Amino acid sequence: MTLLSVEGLCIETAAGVPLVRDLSLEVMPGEVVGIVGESGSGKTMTALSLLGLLPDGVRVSDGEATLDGHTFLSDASFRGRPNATMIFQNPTAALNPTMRIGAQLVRLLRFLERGVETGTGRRGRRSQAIDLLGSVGINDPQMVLGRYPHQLSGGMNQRVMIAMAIAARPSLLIADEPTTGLDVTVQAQILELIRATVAEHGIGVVFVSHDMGVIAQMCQRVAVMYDGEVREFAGVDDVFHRPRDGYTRELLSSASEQLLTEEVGGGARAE
Amino acid sequence: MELALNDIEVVYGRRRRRNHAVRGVSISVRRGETLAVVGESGSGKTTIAKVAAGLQKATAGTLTWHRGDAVEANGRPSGQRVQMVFQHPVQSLDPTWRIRKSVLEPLRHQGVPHEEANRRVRELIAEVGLDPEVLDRYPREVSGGQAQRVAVARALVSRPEIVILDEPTASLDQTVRGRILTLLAELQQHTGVGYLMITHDISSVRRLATRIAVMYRGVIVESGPRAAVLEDPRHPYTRALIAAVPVADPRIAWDGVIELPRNPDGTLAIPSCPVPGECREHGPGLHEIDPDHLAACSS
Amino acid sequence: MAAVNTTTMLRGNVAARLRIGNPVAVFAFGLLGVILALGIVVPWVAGSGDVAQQNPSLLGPSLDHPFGTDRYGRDVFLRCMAAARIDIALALSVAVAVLLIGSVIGVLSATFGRAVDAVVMRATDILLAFPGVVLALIITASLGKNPWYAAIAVVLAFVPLLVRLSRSKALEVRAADYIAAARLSGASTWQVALQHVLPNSFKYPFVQSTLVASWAILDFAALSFLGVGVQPPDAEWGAMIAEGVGDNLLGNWWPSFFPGLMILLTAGSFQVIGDWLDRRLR
Repeated sequence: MTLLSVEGLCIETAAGVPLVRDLSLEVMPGEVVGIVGESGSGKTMTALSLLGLLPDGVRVSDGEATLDGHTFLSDASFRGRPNATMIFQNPTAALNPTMRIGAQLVRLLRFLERGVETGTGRRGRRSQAIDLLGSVGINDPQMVLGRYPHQLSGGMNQRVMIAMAIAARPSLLIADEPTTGLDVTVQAQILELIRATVAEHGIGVVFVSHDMGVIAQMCQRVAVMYDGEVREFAGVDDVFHRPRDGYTRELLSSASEQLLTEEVGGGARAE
Repeated sequence: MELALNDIEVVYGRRRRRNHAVRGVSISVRRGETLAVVGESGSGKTTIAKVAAGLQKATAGTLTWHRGDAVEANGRPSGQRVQMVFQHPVQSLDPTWRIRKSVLEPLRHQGVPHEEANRRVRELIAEVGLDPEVLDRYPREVSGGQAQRVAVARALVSRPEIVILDEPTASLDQTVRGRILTLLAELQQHTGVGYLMITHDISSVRRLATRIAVMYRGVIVESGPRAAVLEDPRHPYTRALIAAVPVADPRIAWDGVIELPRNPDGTLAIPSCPVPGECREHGPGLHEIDPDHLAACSS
Repeated sequence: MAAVNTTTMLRGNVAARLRIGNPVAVFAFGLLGVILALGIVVPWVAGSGDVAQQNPSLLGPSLDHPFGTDRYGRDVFLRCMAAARIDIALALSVAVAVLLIGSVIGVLSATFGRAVDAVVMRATDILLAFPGVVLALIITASLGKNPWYAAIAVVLAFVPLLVRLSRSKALEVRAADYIAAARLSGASTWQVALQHVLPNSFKYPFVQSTLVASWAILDFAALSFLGVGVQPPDAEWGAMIAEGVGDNLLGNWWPSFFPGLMILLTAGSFQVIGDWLDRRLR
């Protein structure tokens, strides 16, 4: 039943400095689980570790992770690749700056087909690419295919990244601060797109963010991280209205300070 | 004491490549009050900040200082009446200078005698909630929050009339943001300084803003007292901006996207005027809806 | 840095104190130190080997004459050590001169922009169009055969490099917020340039200048080899190589080999130190 299960994850630097300690969480199919924390909390390292993308010198030292019943991480080593993809914080920088969007998509589609004789030629893949872009809400896919990443806006590039991420038909999508740095109106559109994608494909999402508002609106369950540890892992309503941890309360009070109107957030303040 | 930007226009490039970063913007900032200029990327808000600080020349329009009704000075604010707090705190301090030297700099240029200057620096560092030992450190040795406090101290040490806050909390951690905003509010109470706050995050203006001006693609689309703009936004873009902010409460259903009608090239196309008929009479531009609450008619 | 006890010249000890780390860099520092020390001490103690015509000429390396004697009977080792003084002094002074002149011009060019920048850029373009040695040759040919002119020529050959580097760093630095903050604090353009931009754009030109020291030795040796630098009978490695060229044909390899080896070791050490600095500063 559980889609993703992570237990006792420990990440440390080559010198033995712990970055993440004993992290456990789980994601159900169709569920968005948030990881919220400030800089240095270890949330990004956690996300990267699930796909084996940790930077040089940083490694998983302990823990187990299972996706779709297949244990892909145990005893600090990877056994096979999990069926998960990731979208990153700065979409324009995460795309290849020297290739047009169309070329990058087609290359991805070709890679995904490897070993399978599908008989789709170049034109077939191109039309697949157009469909893919259309499915993420891009109104003029032809135009976008011919552009380079730096010629498109951040929001557009993030849509492209999402398209690429779901093209692989993953069971799990890991989103590492996907809307940080985007304009707030664009952020709203991207978040809406992620919601729609989850609903349509039934995938699970691990959503990393420092923004409490985004977490509140996107996630069903939340893991609050501080200094490498999970301080609290509970349903979103519990985290926001019945926080058990002092740091969670601190995050909530700083978030409520920035609310636009007086009424909301009263529940959190009462604690 | 009031700093006014009158009908500012900033244009980059020539002929067909012209980019109107800012067009026809008039704003004023008074001592003791805060004007928050809110906009997303490309709105021109950063350009306005630079023009107000005298760091950039406007292509057209003027900068004036007013005391009461009299116009005091024109052009670039001199004698450090305007100071600025920047978005990236550590980068706003010279990495090769100790913090003490950076905070002393404005006073040094003002000709304040050494002892008096050091005294003021010590006072202000305490007032922004820092330990005096931070003065002997280098910028890379302190945290973002501490560096921003230092930057605030430096901005206020020369007793300016207006301080421009350029996204002052954007690069700080969540828990630190609230404290910095509180600090700024307290200092404003204390010193009576005026703030011109530039931000992309409309939710961060609640603590400080007296008035709000919303910018989109180089023009002001709405302006007025904070309560009026936040609670009764009249321009579709303002409404979209407010609606887009995700509420930090899962019990509140949030559907952040307000589809704005756009032209093929992506610019906003507002078909109807917030005050019907006003355009026909007065032409496009800012119109007064309620006393002091202005909204634009078309892009 | 902790004070170093000069009597403990154990390389490991010194290296640890100075936190050098990389063993090759340690070796380079040590080697340079040894050469410099010998260059100062040996001529002071034993003379520069010029006045030694009573020695039989062209003796191979031996205990009496570690590097042998040249065709005039002069002790090659002593001459090499005397030359060390000249060459290293030259390398260091050229490096310092190039660094100071280049970084200041680069910063001012970036600061004042437009006309000033255009002039500086075109001037560096012209100077950089010539290979260093050729440029130096042209200058010394017009000025005269004199080690001072040769040194000036070498400086002029390398200044454009540092002007370019310093200017590009200065342009980067000028975009920083702390520069805007300084202007708002009331700093004049000159004050911003010299108090803020220069110190912050100094790092890379500084590293580059150690490499310049290395190249300066090579260029200066080349000039002396060609006869336009140090004039005989003064000792200089390049000149010594020139003098020993003829002897090579007859199988007497040492008069030109050892000066060449000295150039290699010294210039090489500067290079290694420059690389180490480069990596340190990243």
